[in-house]
Amino acid sequence: MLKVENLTAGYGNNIILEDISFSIENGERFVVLGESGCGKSTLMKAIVGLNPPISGNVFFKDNEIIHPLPENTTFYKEIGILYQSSALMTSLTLEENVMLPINMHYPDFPLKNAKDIACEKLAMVNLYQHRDKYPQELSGGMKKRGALARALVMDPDIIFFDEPQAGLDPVTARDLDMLFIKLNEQLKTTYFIVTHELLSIKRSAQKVLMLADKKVLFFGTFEEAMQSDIYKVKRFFNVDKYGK
Amino acid sequence: MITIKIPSDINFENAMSVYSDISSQISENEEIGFDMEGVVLNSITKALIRKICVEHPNKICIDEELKKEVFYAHDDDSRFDEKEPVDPEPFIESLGSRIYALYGKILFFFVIIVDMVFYSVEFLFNRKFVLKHDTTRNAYQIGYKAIPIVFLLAFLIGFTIALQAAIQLAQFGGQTYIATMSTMIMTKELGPLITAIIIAGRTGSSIAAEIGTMVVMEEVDALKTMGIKPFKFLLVPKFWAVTLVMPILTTIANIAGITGGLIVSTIYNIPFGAFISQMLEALLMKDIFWGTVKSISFAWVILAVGCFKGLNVRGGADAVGRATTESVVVSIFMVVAIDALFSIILYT
Repeated sequence: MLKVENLTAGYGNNIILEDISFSIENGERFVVLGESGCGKSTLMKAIVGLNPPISGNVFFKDNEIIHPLPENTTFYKEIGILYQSSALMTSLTLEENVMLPINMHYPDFPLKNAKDIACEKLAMVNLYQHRDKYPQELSGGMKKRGALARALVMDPDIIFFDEPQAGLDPVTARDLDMLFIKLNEQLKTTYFIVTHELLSIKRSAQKVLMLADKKVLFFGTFEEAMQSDIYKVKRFFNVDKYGK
Repeated sequence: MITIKIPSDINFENAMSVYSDISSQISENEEIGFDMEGVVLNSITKALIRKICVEHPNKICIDEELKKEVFYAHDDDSRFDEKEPVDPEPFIESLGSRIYALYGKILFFFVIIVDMVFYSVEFLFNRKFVLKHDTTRNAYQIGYKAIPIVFLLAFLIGFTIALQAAIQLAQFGGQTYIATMSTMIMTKELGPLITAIIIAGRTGSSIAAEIGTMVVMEEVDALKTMGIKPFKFLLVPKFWAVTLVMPILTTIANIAGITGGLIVSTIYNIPFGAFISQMLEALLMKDIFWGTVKSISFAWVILAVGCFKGLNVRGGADAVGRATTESVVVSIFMVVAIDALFSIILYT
């Protein structure tokens, strides 16, 4: 599904990540973890092209993604992104937000059908009743679910999640995780989750990539990570035991 | 060694007087110890002890326990270590970097203008990436809602200028020229200028704030990763809206300003018919045409500046506020500069 080879990324002369390589299989819940500031979000932004990589290759469904992407690229129709801030358009209702990708890419698509699809996705995330509300009228958890509905609307092959639990209470965060897992099992969409929330990682991770000191510190299944002998990995999962 | 009793009730109010008391007890040659009995080590007490210790490093004798309490350890995490001081950039290099940064900004501004025009023309053939009815909504917000303020301001300015002119003209018996003067000044200069200044204040600021907030809230990033061109999505509806409403608003401003002149001429007993015939004589198609061209170019500049300032927002709410203010100031400056340029080209 997604393959990254020798990727180096950063901002200007400031290199954040060096020589990162990994691959993700279809339908996998892949979690990128690490301490704050280790480059998790930078990796995501490099892959999706918000901050294109300095060097290295990214392959999506066996095609190389070279930024800037050509006019007729289908890449952005095949991915969905859930941002830390939800990034719903504040001037549009929830339903209009979810319909937005359809309206933009297919302006001649009947509005009624676009609405129907948007409502289906909103029902999936239990927000159908709130479809006429504006983002500022929703709670943090509802905004995240709304953003998930928008990310799902084009039936993407992969969804990128940037710190999805940030700013949520543990109960809402758990509910959100359960919803993510349910939808992943139902739709078989690949998940690329950037997070450092331990509970969330334990609930949802199938494969993990841990970043530290600009490099990949660990790459493997969640079970392997839990049994890893690498000190920083052990410390991450048992911070009370190992401390600083 | 002398022992100084530290008071137990040091607070922010009395700290400086306590410090003076203690300082006066410190003599040249003797070592000093502190009697800390009953003292609560609050922030100000600890700061006071640190200050005395730093000022008299060789005289103070305090035990290790107290030292640990009072002096705070610096972060041991390398990420928070203080960086080696960097030598200031030499003047020429610093100047070069600034010019290069300015060049980048100017280039980006022109990219916005080119993209804005390109996507707006492309929109006529390809409706992709623009929300339905967004142009109408923008035209309503930018145009219809601005009519009262444009009319009122243009009327008041037209009235004031005509009144001042009439006072001077009356001295030579030339008050009959109020109509000619009002018509020419409004259609050639003030109509487009007043409208542009109002639009810069109302619309330019709101565009900068809207786009700036979208940048801060990652909405622009979200548009990009949905495959939507942010320039087209954000600018095209506004471009067509201002292009359509600016000439209308300018016409309204012209009418309002001339109406101000009409009222002054009535005060000076000039017949209504005479005013109208003089106005029609002074009303040239050339002036109306160039006034319209000017008003449209002002609108595009205001739009581009608002977008430029909005897209350059880095940070949070304060940065959005700064961008909003800057967009108004820069827009008004550019409008006046372009107006001067038009005047030079058309009337010299």
